[in-house]
Amino acid sequence: MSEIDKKEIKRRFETISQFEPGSEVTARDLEKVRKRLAEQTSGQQPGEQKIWRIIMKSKITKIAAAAVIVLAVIFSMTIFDKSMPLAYAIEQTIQAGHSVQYLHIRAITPSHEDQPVEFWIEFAQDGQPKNMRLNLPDWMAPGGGPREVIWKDNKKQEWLKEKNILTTTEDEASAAQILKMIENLDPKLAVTRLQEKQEQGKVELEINEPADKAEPIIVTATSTKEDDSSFQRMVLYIDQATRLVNAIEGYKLINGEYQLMKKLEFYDYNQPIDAKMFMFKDVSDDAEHIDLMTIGLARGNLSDEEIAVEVVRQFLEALIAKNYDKASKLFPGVPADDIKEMFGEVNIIRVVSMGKPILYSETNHFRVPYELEVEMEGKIILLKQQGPLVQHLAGQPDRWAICGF
Amino acid sequence: MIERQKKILQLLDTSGERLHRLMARLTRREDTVGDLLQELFIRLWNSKAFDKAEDPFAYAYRAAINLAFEWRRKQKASCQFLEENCPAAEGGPSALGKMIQAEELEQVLNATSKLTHLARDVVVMHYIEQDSFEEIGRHLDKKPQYMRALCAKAMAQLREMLQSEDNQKI
Repeated sequence: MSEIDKKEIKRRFETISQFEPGSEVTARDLEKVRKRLAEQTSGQQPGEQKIWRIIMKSKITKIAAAAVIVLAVIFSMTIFDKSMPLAYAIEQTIQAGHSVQYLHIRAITPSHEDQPVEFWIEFAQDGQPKNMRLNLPDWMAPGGGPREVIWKDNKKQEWLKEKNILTTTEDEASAAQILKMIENLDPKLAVTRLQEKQEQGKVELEINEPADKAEPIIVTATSTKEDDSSFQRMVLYIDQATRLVNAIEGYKLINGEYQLMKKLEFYDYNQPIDAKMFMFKDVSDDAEHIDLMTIGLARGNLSDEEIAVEVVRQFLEALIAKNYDKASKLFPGVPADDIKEMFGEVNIIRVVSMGKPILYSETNHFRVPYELEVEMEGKIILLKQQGPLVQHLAGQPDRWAICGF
Repeated sequence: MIERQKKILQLLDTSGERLHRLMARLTRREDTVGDLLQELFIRLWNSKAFDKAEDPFAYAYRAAINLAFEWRRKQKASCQFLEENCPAAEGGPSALGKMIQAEELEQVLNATSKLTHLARDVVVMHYIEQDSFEEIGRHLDKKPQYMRALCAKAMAQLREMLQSEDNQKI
């Protein structure tokens, strides 16, 4: 063997680069692809064709396939029955997912294994999400107790049982947020994304198809260094009979080891979900109903900083006008009477200036300073304040309000 | 016909031959390259990401390299030699000579498959496909200087890998 230096490596590459496949072979292969693509256009199932090609590639399988064909002729068997087991290809899972209309998902975090987040999703005939229910345990949103969220007819409702509060919203941002969440949960889309990443060289797929048909096919997708996925490894468990995903595990590479961070389990594919699941059954009569569309201030075309300033300006103007109802809507959770009690004794003459908002990145809220002219004991004084805290409403990036002083 | 299908058929007409040759070089198997080329175009056909690609050829180029190395990983050591078609194998080397040469080529391709995907793509594009660093930069949307530096680093890594493999044989 020659000594291996850069020159030698270049020589080897040069040898490889000199290879030209025969022109007949090239023409034949290109023609095969053209024909194959024409079949695709005319609607033949790509999965079956591809699987057949994969099977036929192996010499051993070729012999076995020939034997099966002979037996089929002798016994008049139907060998191309769709139930015949075929080598697994990821497209089969994507294809199988297209027919899914109902889905029940449990999202498990190892640190709270006994308190999963549960989802029930109903898809419309066109594959778009129609209804969704989400049960959130307390640890996901500490302080408010467990929450139930229902998204139906483009309306999102959230029931905080312990707080006895039912919130409602039907803005586009909330709908988009729900749709994004479903998109991230949909096993069909997860598999499609993996396939795309594989094509881009961002993940490497390893498929393990056990001989025992009761065992799931295991697809391990490991990110290459170029991928920016939140999980460096995903493991999919695919049912051998239906080709549907039973579970997905997400791993992160920590100190050289893959550690399980999240697991999604998929149940009850296409078992119709009772319509009652998409309704709250135990909202008490005295529950406080809050329409999130009527509180806070819509962002419009303003930036985060601009809307934060605008919320405080309108709040101060409401105080000047003694319009405590309006002030209460800009400071949700504090009733108008309480606001009157807090600010009613201060006689604000005018807003002199609004300062530049300061972002507190840890909690993601702004503090908006301001200067006011205030009348106190017959004198006009200039009052400089560090200002209230402003943030967008939970789950509604387009509506902003004061969340504290 | 939808836009993606048109793009793919156009790509097949303009660059099919080049992609075919590239995959043949990387697999060194004429009997396999047809299947792999089909696989490549079917993947593109089903790929939403391909729609978004600004340069369809560059996208297919990388996908082809990826697919060929994916195939190599699955094949491990079961490679057959391209004896009849490999020019370097023509002209009289003994059977043993051919085997040694084929093994050397396999070694360098297998070592290349262990590089990061980006480094691997740059090495293949520069040394096998003879693309300039400017062309590679355009294909991969990176600066040519970076491509050159990455390629030099990759060559050092390849040398280290091959040297270590050679020492193990001794």
